[in-house]
Amino acid sequence: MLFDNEQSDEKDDMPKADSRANVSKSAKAHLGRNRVDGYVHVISPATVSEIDRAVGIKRSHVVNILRAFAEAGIKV
Amino acid sequence: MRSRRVVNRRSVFLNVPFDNSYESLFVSLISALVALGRVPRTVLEVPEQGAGSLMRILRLIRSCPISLHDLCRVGLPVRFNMHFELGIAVALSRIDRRHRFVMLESERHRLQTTLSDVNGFDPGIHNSTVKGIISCALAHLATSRGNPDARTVLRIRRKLWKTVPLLKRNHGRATIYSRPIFNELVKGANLLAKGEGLIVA
Repeated sequence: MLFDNEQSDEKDDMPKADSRANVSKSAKAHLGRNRVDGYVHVISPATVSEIDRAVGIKRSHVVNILRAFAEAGIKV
Repeated sequence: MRSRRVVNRRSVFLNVPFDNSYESLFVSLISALVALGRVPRTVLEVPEQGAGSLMRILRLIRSCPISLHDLCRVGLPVRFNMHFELGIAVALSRIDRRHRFVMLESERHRLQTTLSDVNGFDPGIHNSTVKGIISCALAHLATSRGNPDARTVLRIRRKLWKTVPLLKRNHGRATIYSRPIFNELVKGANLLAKGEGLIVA
């Protein structure tokens, strides 16, 4: 019994550096790795509405392109 | 709702020759960028408000974190616009350090002769082909995950290209280089990319 206790003490004293290697990296660490010249180049794709807003697409553009798709026989 | 600044981070300024023979490649670039979830921007979409085209170009390039410069037009008549705008982008990349630029060419090693100042920067070579320019766009602008494959982009481009004669006829234009046609092409690519499941509403 005494022998078992000694074993468990040894485990507690073990350095924890090895076990930390398996811990998943934080979001900050991920960003840090992708940082180039102080700028993060990892971006998520824009949504349809974001692209529309950025380019300045109006209802008339939507109507015109849908009409062109219909005339060309393309289903969207 | 995401902020306008986040949207701008996805903008790509297109500095390409606005001529008839480039239309096919221009539609291909629009298809590839939208499929990647990027926002294609050109000087066509900015209305003239008295500041002159140079200021419009400067402001637009500055608002985009990446610019794409196709330097394939080196024959006659001589065109300096693309190279001039590349110079603006290079200066911004050095001063702001938040701007990146990508150069494209149709012939390998030609840029070493036509613009030796940028030796050391490798341009994407598209051979003036649709597949080539889509491949260049995907190679230079792809993100770490969720990128479309070239075949999907080609499918989007093929459908979008079919609308070009109709859009020209509807707007009474000989080329696609006008603000309404550009906006409609972007919207068309947008709808097709959404249909392919590449971007969400």
